[in-house]
Amino acid sequence: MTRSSPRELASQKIQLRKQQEKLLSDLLTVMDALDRASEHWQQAEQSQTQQIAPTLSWWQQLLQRLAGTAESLPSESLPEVVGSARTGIDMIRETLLGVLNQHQVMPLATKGQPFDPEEMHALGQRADAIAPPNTVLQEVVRGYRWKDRLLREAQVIVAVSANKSDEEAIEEARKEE
Amino acid sequence: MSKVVGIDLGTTNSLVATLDEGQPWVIPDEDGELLLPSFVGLSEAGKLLVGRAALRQYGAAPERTVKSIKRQMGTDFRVTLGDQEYSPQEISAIVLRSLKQRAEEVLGEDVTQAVITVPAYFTDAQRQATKEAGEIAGLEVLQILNEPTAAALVFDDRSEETENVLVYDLGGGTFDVSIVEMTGDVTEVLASHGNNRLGGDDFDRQLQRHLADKFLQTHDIKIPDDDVTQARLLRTAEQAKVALSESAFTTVREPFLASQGKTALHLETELSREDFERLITPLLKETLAAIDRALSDAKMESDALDRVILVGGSTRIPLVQRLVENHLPGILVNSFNPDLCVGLGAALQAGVLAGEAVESILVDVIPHSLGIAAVMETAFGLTPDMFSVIIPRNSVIPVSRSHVYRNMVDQQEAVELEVYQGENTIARENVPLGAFKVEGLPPKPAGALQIEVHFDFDLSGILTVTATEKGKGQQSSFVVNDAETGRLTSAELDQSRDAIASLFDISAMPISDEDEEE
Repeated sequence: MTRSSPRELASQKIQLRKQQEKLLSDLLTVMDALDRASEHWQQAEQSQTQQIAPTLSWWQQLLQRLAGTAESLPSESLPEVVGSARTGIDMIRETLLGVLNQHQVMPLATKGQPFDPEEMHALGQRADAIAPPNTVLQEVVRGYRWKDRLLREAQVIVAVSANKSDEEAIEEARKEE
Repeated sequence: MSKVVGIDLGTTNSLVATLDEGQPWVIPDEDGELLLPSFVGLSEAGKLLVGRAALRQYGAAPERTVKSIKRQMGTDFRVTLGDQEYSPQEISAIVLRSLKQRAEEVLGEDVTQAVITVPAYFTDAQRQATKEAGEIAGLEVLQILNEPTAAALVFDDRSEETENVLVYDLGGGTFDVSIVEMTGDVTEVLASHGNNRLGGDDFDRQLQRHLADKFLQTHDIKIPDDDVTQARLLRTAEQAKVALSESAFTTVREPFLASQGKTALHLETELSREDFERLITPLLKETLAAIDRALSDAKMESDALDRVILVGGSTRIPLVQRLVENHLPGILVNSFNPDLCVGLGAALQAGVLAGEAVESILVDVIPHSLGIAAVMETAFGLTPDMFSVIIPRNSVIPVSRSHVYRNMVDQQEAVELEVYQGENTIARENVPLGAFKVEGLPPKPAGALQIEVHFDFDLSGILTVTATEKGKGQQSSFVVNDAETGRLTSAELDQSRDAIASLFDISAMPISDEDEEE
């Protein structure tokens, strides 16, 4: 037991990694759920605002009021209920993100970025007239980095042009990088 | 001096293994991953991608990515990557070279010689192509070894007695069953059968469809058929499958899976192992038919088999093991690191060829079945005090299994679990390990209450029994801290089964009185 063999070193490394990553990875599933909830409420909120067509400043005022004071409104309208739900979800989401950040777990930015096989898993392609080929159109599962390594790969849908040999678009994608 | 390695060059995944003091181990990459996806690609910028990175880009750039090249070995198929054409052996060589590099980095020495495995059904041309792939990668190929033989070597003690081994290999996407005859160092594949389009991925898809049905039942609308939703569902299905190998139930939760108008639709459902087993049984029946065909090709009756070895990740599913055991009654069924077993065997063979001392004593097994006393349906109707086995003997440890039991009488408030070890069908004829009670059960009619009994046997020989009432989640557990439940090495097991049986009788002395009753 004087010197560790390559085998021992390797197995120590795997064990350490698995122990540390397990909890963080498990937390990410909660984060995913919050992301989805947040997205849903955001959409609900948008459709509410469109229906009632209030001005943006009105909406901002409401948000400020919700965030600032706890007094209940005399007659709650649906947009307010939706707005408060969204704000609440977003707050929980921010809290969890903050906890993860403290542990150096950072989300990967993918949307609009060139596809990177070191960190992203492509679920499929979609033709897109505007986006340059090989850029990320949609993020299905967010990826995270932990310190300097990949904790979880992002799962994405990647743009493909109708005309594949679109050299210009490819160049453009590279420039963005 | 350079190290010799064994390489499992698989359709979906590959790995490299070597010996350390006679014992094989799999060499991980710098992230600690043992398996290298057998994918090769070029990034958009023209950089070579091997393994996970290539797998990740497959969905975005199938024209720049090669997968499952193993299916093309030995043909004059050419793949285009970038502006060059490659033969299947060249693509395989890229995978092999990547594994060679990985081994050299971890071991800190050159790796120049290897044993590479191939399926038993590979033709000469396919074997030759595999050998060429090794040579292109800069490896002297000491031997092209059959995969089932490699797996069998892990459990073999190289005695001069002839042993007939059936290797059942169910992976992610391929299935085959082979019968290998082994006498000392001489091995021969007598028969091989399979379906190279059947595996764990099919089970995931069955479960995915089942979840889609559940969604339809709950919300009365069909789950959207778009890629994103389906990808989420498939991922959930795969996770549920893995969970159901350990536990009898799992809860699937996919919040905000879809929406109807502005209403979010969630999927929350409980899956039982029974549900999953019902879904995959038809697929597994096919594998049992392949066993029969292999036996008949080898002109062999099943009782001429000495051992069955389960290989491939999908054999972790308890039903697979149970069906094989029931199909070949009385034959010892072994399983050890089913994903890695072939590569480990290749490393052993490489060691033998390089003149290293090897040990095939890899596995510890439990010599006695472990279970509880239960009322069971027999030829005489419902019979009390029957021994219901939860972990069958010869299971490789660590092992964790569970069964579900139901209440016998209406409004049953408590259930007493008596834990035994042994092989007698009458519980009391076996060695008692202790008993404990689960109390405060919710009142339910007979048969309506489900209690999952989970046995967990760890490497130190400690048995933890946990009983969970399914509805309210009442839990109670109990630990048997007992060296006498014992372990046996595979070498000891390799003596004839009769000898082992008598050995069991001798060592099956009653446990001292330290029953840890509550």
